[in-house]
Amino acid sequence: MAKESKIVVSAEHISKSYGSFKALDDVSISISQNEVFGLLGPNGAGKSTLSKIMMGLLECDSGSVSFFGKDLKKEHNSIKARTSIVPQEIAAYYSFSVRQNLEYFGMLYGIKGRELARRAEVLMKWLALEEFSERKVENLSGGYQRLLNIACSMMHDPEIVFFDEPTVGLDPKMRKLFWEKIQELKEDGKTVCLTTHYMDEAEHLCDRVGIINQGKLLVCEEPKRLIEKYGGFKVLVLVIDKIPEQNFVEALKKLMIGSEVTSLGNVLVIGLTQEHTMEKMSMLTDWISGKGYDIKGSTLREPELEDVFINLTGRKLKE
Amino acid sequence: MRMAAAQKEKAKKQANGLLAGIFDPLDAIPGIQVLKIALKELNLIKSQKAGLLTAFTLAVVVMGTLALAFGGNYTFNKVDVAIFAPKTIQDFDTADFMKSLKDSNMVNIHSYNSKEKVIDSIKRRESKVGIVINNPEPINKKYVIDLYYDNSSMMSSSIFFEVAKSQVQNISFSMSQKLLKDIWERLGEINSKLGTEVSRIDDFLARLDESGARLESLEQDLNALDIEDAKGALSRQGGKITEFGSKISEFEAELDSFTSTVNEIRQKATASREKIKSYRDEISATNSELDSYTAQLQQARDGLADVPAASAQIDQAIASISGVKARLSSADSELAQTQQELLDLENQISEPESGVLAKLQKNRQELQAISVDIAGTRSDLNSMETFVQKLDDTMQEVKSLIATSKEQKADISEKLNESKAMINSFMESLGELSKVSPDFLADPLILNKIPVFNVEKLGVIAPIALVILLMLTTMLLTGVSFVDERNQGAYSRTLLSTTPKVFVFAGKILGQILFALMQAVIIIALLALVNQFTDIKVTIASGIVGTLLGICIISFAFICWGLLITNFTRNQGTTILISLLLIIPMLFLSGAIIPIELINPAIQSFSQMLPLTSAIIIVSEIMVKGTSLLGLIPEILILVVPAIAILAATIMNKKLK
Repeated sequence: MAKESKIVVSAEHISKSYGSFKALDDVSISISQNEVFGLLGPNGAGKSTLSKIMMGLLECDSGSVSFFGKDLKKEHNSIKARTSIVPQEIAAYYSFSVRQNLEYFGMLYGIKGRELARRAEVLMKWLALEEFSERKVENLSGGYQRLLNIACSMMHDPEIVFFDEPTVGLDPKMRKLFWEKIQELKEDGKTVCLTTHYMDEAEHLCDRVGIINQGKLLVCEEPKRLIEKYGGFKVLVLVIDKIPEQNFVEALKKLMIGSEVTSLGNVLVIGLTQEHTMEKMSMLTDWISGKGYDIKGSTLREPELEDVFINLTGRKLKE
Repeated sequence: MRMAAAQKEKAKKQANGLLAGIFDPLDAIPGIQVLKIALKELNLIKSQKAGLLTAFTLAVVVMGTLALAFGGNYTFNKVDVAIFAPKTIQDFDTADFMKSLKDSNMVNIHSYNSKEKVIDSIKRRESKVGIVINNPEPINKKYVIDLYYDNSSMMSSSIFFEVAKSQVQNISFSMSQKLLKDIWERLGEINSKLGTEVSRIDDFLARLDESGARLESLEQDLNALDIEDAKGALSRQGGKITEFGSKISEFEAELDSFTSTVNEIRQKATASREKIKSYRDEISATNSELDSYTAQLQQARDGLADVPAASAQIDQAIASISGVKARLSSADSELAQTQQELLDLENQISEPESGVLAKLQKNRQELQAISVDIAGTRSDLNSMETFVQKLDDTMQEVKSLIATSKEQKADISEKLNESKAMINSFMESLGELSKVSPDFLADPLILNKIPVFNVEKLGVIAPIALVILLMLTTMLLTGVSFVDERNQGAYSRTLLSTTPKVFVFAGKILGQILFALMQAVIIIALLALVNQFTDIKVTIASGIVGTLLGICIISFAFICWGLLITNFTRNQGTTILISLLLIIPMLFLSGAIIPIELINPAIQSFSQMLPLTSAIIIVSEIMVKGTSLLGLIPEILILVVPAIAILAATIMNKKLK
């Protein structure tokens, strides 16, 4: 569906370095109209750098970005009127009330008078901020501050909205509300691009996901297709009695060559292939026991995006 | 790497354990908790690396600035002094006064031709102090000097006034000293010169006397000699001799003529005697013929006897011939006598001894002898004339010498007159010196301290305080609020809006300026209250509008400096500390606390370029002096040009996104 839609955002061959550190290395993505696109990757992978370059907040060393077929550098002003970003931090004035913030940011986009007040009212209503309209931002709870953040970014009714880690630090209830709001935006015809390191969020919200690691775009497809392609057959999760030593993990990796082995505390996650029969898994548990580790529990589950990432990068997303 | 870090951590743990073991017994000491909290505080500070670095940098920068500005040996810069010293001031050596001031090496002199221009020079900040020299006061004739000082800057004005005053007092002391020295020198000089003059005059007088006597004597001698008379007498004698000679010549000529006449007479006598002899021969011949004729006639009468008439006539003819013959005989006798007489005459003339010719010859010879004598006399007279001429020449020379002597005398007289004039001048000097009063000598100047501006201390301090407050609030507020805005992401959101970046900054600056204006209005209102309800006079000379405009410009500049700081800081703490890094040195270097002129001259130019320096000048000029903003263009440019550059750099700084 997304592939058939009109491409509204296109980033081609984007590279960016900070000194000798290559933050982005020849990354190309495109986002279609009314699509929710997720940029997935661990901290420092280059997601925020890419989204800042796409919003014109940062200049790339090479490559180009275009919106609606227009070059970002040449027509930044007209593009700005049609795009917006919801930053991770609360980009609002803490000493201003909710209304003051909304009206101020609306004013910056040239919205005036009654239209300005109306837009503020609509957004406050949509994001359940009405009862706090005159409350100072500093007196709002963290969740409502994040909702105001969205409202401020939506004052000029943009067609494309970038969300930078929108649900980081939110409680599950608020996180769910956020997901709803993003879905409502999509239903409203908006195009959304979000960066996240929450696999479930990407899986739940995004039409397509681009996995980015160490500045490189590894893959870019629908979540299901990614899991199918790179998620593996099954995933064995073993809980052992103690945190394994490094040489044990290295020996396990050598034993399970061709599979992804990661350790997280006393949990071992082993990606399995169709070649890994039950007999082979029995031999594996014996080998672990032989090394002095007791297996306290084990689970065999279907692969997720996380597994895709592990399989692609050899490490967990939240290491 | 990880292994190394783990080992380090292990070592640290061991050290902490060891330390804990050592210090655990200290827990019993009262108040140890406070010490531990203090240690925690130090650890916290230590963890704020940027702040810590800035704090240490601040200390280094502030002390370094102070060391640079006030350390080392440097000479105090010259104080600019405006002077009006009319040349018409009685007995005042303006040029010398100026030279003394200049030689003091403490002041730069700006000369003006009126008191008003001196004051204007201070108002225009070209001069710090003004000196106006007035006519002497009537009693002790002390010179009255008005010292105008720029009281718009309290510290500077006092220092510069004292510098100028001390210089003038130095000149005053020098004047007294110089006057006394001059008096002594002049007295010594007068004494010495008078002695010399007296000797000279004595010498001249002696020489004059001597010359006078000699001239007198010579003149008398010369006067006694009548050369012209002698020359006249000689000339007359010469004339007479010449005349005598010519007469002798005439006499000789006459003598010669007489001799020749005598000779002619002798010759004529001889000729006459010959003729007489011939005549007598004729007569004798005639007688003979007559006798013949008588005989013939007698014969003819005898033959003509017949003719009685004829015989009678012949007888008568014979009788007539006898009568002629008688007269011829008489004539012949007379001729014979004459012939004898002529012979006698010839003999008288020609006789060798006693003859006339002999006597004439003798006389001629005597005349020739006289002529020779006259020629000798003439030669003597010529010699005499040559001598007299030489004598005349000598006298002319003597007269010339006398004339030269007279000129010398005139010269000496002139010199004597000069000496006299000099002595008179010395006498005048002594007279002048005697007029100088001891009071004047002790202190020849009266100094009047006159402030240029009608303002009190509070009025001078208030603008400085206002500027410092504005600087602190605008720089810190702008910096802190902008860093906050950036950290909160609101700035990014603003940049992503369609409002141009320039408008965003313009609005931000305008807001800060309005706040600064409010602050300024409060301060000004408080000053107005002080002015209204106390005796302290605080003026806003240029009016409230001019002051507020000035404050807008200053605020704009400090806001931009605040923005500049945010280009390098990421949080409030660092922003404040770096702001202080600028503010504290500026407080010391801008003249707000210590006058710029006391700063090391090498740093002074830098001080002049500081925004706080210009800001203080602008507000002081507006509030105290009533200067319009148009008169403060250089200071405004110093504030605004860097501010605009900073603003442009901040707007274009892409890292701030």
